[in-house]
Amino acid sequence: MTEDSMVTIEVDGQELKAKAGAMLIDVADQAGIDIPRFCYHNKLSVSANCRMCLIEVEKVPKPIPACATSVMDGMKVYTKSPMALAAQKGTMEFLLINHPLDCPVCDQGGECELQDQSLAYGSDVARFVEKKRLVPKKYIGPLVETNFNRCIHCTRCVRFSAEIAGMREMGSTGRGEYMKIGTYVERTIDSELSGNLIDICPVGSLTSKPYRYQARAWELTQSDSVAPHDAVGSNIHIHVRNNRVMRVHPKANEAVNECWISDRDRFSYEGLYSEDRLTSPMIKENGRWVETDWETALQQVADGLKEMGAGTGALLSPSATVEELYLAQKLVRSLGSDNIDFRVRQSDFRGGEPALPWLGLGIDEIEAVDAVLVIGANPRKDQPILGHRLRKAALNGASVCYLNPLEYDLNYHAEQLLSAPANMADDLAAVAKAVGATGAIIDDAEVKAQHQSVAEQLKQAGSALVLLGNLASAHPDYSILSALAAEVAKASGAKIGFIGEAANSTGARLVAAMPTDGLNAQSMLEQPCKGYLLLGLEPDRDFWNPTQAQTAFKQAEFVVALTAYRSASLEAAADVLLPMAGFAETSGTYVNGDGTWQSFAGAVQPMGEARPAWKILRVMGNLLDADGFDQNSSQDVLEQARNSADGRQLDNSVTADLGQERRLNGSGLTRIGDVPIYATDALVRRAPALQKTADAISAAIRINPGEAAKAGLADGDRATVIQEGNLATMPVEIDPGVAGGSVRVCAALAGSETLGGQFGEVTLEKA
Amino acid sequence: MANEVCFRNMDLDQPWLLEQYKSRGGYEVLTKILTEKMTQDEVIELVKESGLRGRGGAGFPAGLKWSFINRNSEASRYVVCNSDEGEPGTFKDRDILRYNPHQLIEGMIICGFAIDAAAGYNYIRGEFWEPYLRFEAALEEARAAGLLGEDILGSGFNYDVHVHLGAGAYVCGEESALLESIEGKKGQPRFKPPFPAHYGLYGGPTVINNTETLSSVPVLLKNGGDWFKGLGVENSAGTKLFAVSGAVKNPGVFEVPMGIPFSELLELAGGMKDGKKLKAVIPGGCSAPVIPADEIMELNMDYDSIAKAGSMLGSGAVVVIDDSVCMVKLLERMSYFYHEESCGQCTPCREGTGWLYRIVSRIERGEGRQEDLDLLTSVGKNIAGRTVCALGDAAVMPVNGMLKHFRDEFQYHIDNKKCLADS
Amino acid sequence: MKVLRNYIKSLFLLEMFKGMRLTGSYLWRKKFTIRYPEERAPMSPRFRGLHALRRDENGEECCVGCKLCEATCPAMAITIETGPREDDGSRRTTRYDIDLFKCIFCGYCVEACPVDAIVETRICDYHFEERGENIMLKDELLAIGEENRDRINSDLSAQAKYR
Repeated sequence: MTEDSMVTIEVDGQELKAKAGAMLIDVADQAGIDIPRFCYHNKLSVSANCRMCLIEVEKVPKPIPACATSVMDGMKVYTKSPMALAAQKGTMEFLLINHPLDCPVCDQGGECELQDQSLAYGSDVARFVEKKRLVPKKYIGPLVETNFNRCIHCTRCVRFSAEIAGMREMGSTGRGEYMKIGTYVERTIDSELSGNLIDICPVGSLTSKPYRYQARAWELTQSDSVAPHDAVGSNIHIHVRNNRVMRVHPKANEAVNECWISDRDRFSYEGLYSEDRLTSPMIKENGRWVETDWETALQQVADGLKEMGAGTGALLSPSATVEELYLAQKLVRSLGSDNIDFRVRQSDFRGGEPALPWLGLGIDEIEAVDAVLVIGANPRKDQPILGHRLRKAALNGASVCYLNPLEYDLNYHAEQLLSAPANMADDLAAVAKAVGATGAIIDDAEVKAQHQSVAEQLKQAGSALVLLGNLASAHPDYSILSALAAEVAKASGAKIGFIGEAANSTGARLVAAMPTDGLNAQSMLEQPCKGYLLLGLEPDRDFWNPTQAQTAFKQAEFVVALTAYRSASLEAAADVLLPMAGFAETSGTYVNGDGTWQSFAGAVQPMGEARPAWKILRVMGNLLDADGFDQNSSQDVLEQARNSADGRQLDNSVTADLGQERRLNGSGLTRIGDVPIYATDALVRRAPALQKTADAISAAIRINPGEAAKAGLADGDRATVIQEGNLATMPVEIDPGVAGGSVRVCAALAGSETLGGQFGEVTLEKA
Repeated sequence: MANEVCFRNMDLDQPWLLEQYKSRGGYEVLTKILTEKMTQDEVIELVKESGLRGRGGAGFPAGLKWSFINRNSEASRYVVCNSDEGEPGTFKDRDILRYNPHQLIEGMIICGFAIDAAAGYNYIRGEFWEPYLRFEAALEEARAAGLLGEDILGSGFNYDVHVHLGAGAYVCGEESALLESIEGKKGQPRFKPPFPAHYGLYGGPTVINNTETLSSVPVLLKNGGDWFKGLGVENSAGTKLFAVSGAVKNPGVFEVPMGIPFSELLELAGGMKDGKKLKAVIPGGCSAPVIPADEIMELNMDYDSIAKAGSMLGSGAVVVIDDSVCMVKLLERMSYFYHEESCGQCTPCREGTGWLYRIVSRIERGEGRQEDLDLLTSVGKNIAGRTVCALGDAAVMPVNGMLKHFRDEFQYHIDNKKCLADS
Repeated sequence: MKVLRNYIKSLFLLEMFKGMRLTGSYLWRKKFTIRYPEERAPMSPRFRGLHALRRDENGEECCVGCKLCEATCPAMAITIETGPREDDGSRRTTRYDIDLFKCIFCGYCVEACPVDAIVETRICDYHFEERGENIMLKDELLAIGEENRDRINSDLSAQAKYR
């Protein structure tokens, strides 16, 4: 910053230095000078319509809005002069004349910007004696409750929808006093970021539906935490009352989530209070489940594990904390087993994976890249905040290209190469060839105009990024795809990045929750182990191949599951269920996609007899007489985990062989088993409000019109999917966004658990 | 000395036809500018010299406005003609569109040339269906004659004029709301600065002028700035179209030189209807404060004189009020208009115009209270000068004007619950 | 001299008769003791006795569950749970308890209530026989409100202009 671009202004007699062109309200905010406002929000465009921030500037005859006035050298500003105060009080009176006096029943009461400001700028006697405006309530979806009587027409929600959510879902209709905020023709708000409308609304016009009338702001205690659903690790505030999580709010962190969080992070807490929470240890006695005490259960586990010894396989959830994963791997290794893995949705373990894959750059750096190639991922739904950063990059002028077997509904311009799962490698090889890479597959690739254009964009960009995501890592030819991506990145000078699938995918590798020479997640199920330790996983939903997983667990001699929920599949698979603390009930640490360690404390006591998993694992270690299980707190565990992670560097270099055999050959129909946004983990799957949204799709055969015609299927038919002899019958939906030669049958949904792997050959039969 | 500029062809049989317009020297100036290679600066300088002021209401010097445009801007430049005359009492632009569309087109082309514009837009009020059709027909004629389109008159200048029909919102007469409306958005004024001269239509530098202003351009360029100045008085050059309505015998649009005494204008309109007594006049459209009879009869119709009397010349809509009119009822109707037409974007106008209307209406119904007059002033004070556009001020000015000159009528309403005018 | 005067005073019990005269004068005046509980002393409309929850003229409970009484209670005697009522989605309490062992009858809850739902009645004589009865539940409070409806309403209107 050079001296010239700085100006000196005076605000209320206080001399301030500011960047030329900065808005007055920002400069005042930084100096701690409070200017009231409603419509201004520093992440949204300026609209200057609420007229609350009117202030006096020397030599300007009228009060002017601080939010739309840029600073000029020598400017003298008075925010509390009689002229400014008169203007602010006048505006406040206008805002209140049509605002109902329903603060007692309003959920915003106690944390309402209008309430606060009216205390300072309002009058105690109303001069307006006429009837107030009545606006009917609108249904805009299961997450956001509306009461437009309270609306002050600041249009923050309208600007948020257009600028941040990128969906233009809200708008204002009508003129003057009859202006109304609403969705276009009674539609619902379907953005994955819609919950932020609740925070952004300065009054109680848009409030949280699940939280409706549950508590008042002053009853809540706030604790900081980290969202457990994706590789972003959004910072959140958990609001607690009477030892119950009442709601989740974002905690601003510019480097991670700015001031937004996804709906999944915001509303998943409801899953904590699902009816099938496991609240006491249970053991299976003669095929019947009985509740028991911790001592009995743990003793049985210790005996069981001792017997299994080196035959134990540990399958750990990538959503588990660093502490849990560290202790779990330590426990299993002390049994003499190296069968530990968290990559439950991966199927290609042929090696050559990067030692410690990560995003390749900071989350906040994404918006500054000039070109992005996204392979096998839909960040908008898989990691919504990451998707938002990508959108920002695109709006900044970056060219974004996608290579996927599904065409996604994106809220910015991007080139989407649609490619059947079996052809993804060919298309990627063509791009690689076009950027000038050489090697097996690449040399044989046929470069078309679309590949050329992607290649040009990558090559011309000042900073380019190649990203691989959830679908890529679940792909049977993941190693080939990642090797090709690495070639593309190398030849085009781009960075390569891997979007971890869950909240702690990066952390799990840092604490070595994966085998060095033992069995990996895939082989543990293919060559069943004698016994299994499951941490936070559900056999029917959380595995690449749920049928294989369920079969493996069923034949095992002893299965112990640490879980927050009891589900039919767990009860069928396990011998002992140990209730572990869920989200917000335990302290822990997540390492997010860009390698940031973020620790958090528990916000509420675990429900019933549930205990934090790290404590359960530690006691199990003690019972097994293993060394190094004498930690007194999760901080102790974290310290040891950190020490163990020392020397492990984030490393994206791929060594996989390009010339490997391709597992998907593209004959017949290939299943695309992506995991929908609200099916990613046990907590989300049990959050009722989220399950009512449009994004919470149910199992169906989604197929493009061409393939449907070939198979003789029409929209609304029921058909049976046959995958490796496994059957599932579900309705057919015609979706032109599915690549030819493939059929989208989502994983992790009810009805999909009887099928095989997320990708694989299937046949369809009309039911 | 009348009908010199915008109405100079009124005596012709079908003055809206190209051939007839040309018979009076139409498009000569444009031809001269384009063929004799006048520079853009010269044109702007001529307009500046003439002292032509915007006829839409604010009276901003037109030449100065044109000179603000950065002709080297990266974004395309545009000329926008504001024919959205929504001001109650105004109907002068309608007659230009109906009877002299080619002069407006010529003015728009000259302006387009002066700022090197990519295109021109004429935003015509939604209710003007007939003038719209006639203007479209005139555009077709001009295109056919090579006066619009690619390479106009072989000069290499490409320019076309398009018509955008409004949808009936008063606020779209406000220049930035008009731009939003052309862009296809909801007609809501933009916050200024930046002004349209820097960031206008589609983000490009834009000149927005009233129909009358642009129509005056060809004539004043033809006859020279001094001739134009000579038509009017000091600081108010040229002629002006006055739309006289209300209690007069012959309401209509009159083109007269600036500075004409009001009494003469009233004479032109045939004097008071039915021999009634003049009570007051609203000199510049509904937004201008009212002037009582005794004052207005002494005044000349030019920017400065009217301003001195505490009102404004505005768009030149002269509403003549006779003594049978109840001022409270009149104000109620006017306040209802602003309440109805507020766009709803900014708080003071959205909430305040409705409040003003309700108070006035309450007084009219005989439910007024003593403190209501002060409340009106106070609410007005809270609106004026604090809104995004001038609609808020426009809603307050008639209230203040009425209270200033006819407070006794309001007081009578409150005290006696009936009209002073009727009794 | 002084000694002699005191001697005479005490000899003829003068002080006693003076006292007896006062006592005697009360003997003939109107009695002001009342026979409680058959008779009751007059009470102010502001008397702060047992709590009640009101219903409005349509029989709808007045309380909207704003929890201001809970927040203002210095003894933390009030416990409220709220939620949307099932039939119409309006904000209602699902639980409204007042612990009379904790309550200090300060009347802050009444002051805080924006809808005059919680009131303190003139009831000041009640007893508990079992532990747990000290917690007044919502239904009990509403019942008290219904039983004393007219009295509560007249007391409220008597105070209205001072509030």
